[in-house]
Amino acid sequence: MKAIVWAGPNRVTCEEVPDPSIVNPRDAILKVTATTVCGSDLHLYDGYIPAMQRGDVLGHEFIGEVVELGPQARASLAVGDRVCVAPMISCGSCFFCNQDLYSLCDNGNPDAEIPEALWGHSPCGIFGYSHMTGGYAGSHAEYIRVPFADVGAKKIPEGIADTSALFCSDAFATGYFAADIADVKGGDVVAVWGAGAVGLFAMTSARLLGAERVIAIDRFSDRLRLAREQAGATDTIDYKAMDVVEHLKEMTGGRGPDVCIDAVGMEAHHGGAQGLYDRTKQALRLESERPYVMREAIMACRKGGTISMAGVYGAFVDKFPLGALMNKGLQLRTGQVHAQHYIPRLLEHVERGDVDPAFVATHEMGLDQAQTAYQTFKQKNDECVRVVFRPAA
Amino acid sequence: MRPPIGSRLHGALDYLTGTKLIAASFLPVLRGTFAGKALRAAGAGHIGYSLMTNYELGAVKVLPYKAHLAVDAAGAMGLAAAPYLAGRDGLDRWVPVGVGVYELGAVLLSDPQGKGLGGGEPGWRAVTVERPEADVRSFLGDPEMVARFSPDNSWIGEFRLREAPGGRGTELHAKASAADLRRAKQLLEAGEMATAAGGPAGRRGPLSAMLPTRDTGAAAANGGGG
Repeated sequence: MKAIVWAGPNRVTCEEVPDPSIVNPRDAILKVTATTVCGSDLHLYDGYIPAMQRGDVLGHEFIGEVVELGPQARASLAVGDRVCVAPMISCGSCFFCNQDLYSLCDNGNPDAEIPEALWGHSPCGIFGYSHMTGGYAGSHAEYIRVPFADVGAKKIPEGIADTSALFCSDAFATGYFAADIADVKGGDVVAVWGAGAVGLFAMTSARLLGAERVIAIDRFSDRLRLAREQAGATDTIDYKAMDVVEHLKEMTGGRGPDVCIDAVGMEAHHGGAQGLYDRTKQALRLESERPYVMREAIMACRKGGTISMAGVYGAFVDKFPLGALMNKGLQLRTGQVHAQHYIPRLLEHVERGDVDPAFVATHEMGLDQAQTAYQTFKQKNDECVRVVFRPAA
Repeated sequence: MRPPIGSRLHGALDYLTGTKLIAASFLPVLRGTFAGKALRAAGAGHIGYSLMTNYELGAVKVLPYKAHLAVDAAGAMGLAAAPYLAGRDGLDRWVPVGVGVYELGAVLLSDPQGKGLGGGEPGWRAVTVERPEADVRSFLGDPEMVARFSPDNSWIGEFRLREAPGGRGTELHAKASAADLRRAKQLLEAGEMATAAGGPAGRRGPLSAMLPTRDTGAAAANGGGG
């Protein structure tokens, strides 16, 4: 089959690779009907997540059609089912899965010792997301093996289009998760850094959960327009044009936003001296992240407010305003999305017509356009928000 | 204070240093010189007796780890002394002396017991399993299950069970490798061992095979297959 594989920093290729096969009793093999490049894939593409190997198949956000099932997966799935799959590979039966904290699953990562050395404990496995999270083959391929499919693959109701269901797998789920763990409620002012797909869905979700004002922060005017027109943002900030912290305080009567959502992560952009400082330190591997968004969010957030981290971080940061975090009594909520928990709820929202996540699908390409697809997405060329592949088409 | 370098890390350094010394001997500035030859001999020798050492990364485990450290120290001093004995100076003197001092430093920072960072015998470790104590006990008493979670037969069967607080199942404390404990927990909780081994991949790079993995590939043991 054809698949997009990582070939080194900033290089992906479409190669002929072996078809996957059933390995474990709870496995399913899917024909991938739609899959998309996630912002977090760019951390792999750029070479910032360690433990990538040349030849690793990328991709973790996808839907598909079941073509083969292991004996234990047959109880909950059937050949021909259309399913939306959680990026997280989680067993469904450990302490964490039993509490719906699927991304913390104890049993999904066969190579847990790498993250244990770096982070103390290992999170779940993740499709196509380096050998830190198991080295599983990803979804930018014609077929994929889904371990623990009885837990991770959720049936898509009739009447939901592929593109709308696709983003329930990760981008919408992560955005919703970010708003949910921040406990967004009626009347809240929510600021969201990053108007990529996850940020846009965090805005959408904050509104679904009752936020009164949603402030979108980005530097691309087309993304800020999408935020206003499609994602329910009431205000926008172009961070190139103004001081974000000062502006947020002014917009909120000096209080600061009740909830600040970081939908950017480790490769944030920033001009000026601060940007130069972190870029240099990151290039020298003295810090692994560029944490401007977290710095700004902590400084801007109202006292006693909540910071929600939906962006991905890998290891260490420098000049982290721990004093502000503590003295302002902020809550810091974090994590990879517990997608198995959220996907059914989001599919219901889509079915009811509350949201149609398809608006972020700006580009469609073939697997053999791998390098163009990643580069277009990375550079945000041509107003690209998300590139969708349809390998089964 | 215990010296920080354990036997596993020491082994990794052995191979890395050996390879680098050989590679360095081919640098234009060293090729064909006394220093280059000394480095190449030291690198090759190092890899040779590392392969024969009884530690995690040894192939034919005949040389005790403490003896390995003694050979390291003797080799380092020999390397540093060689240019003086041969009456060399300039690069021919200072490159072997520098490498010898570095190697001696690495020996002094290595724990002769092999413990410390990245090394040593499996000590006591623990995992918590979401299953009643009786289930865990009967699981660990089943040789077929033991063979599945400890495919290299490293499980010695020394363990204690304790009820976890708050109804969180059973704490399994065992003198075992982390990988064995993880697989035992996976079998008990999930009914199968997670693996990505043998999955589709494109062309691999030259270094891929050298990267460490604990994913043993559980296909046969899990009884999967269509």
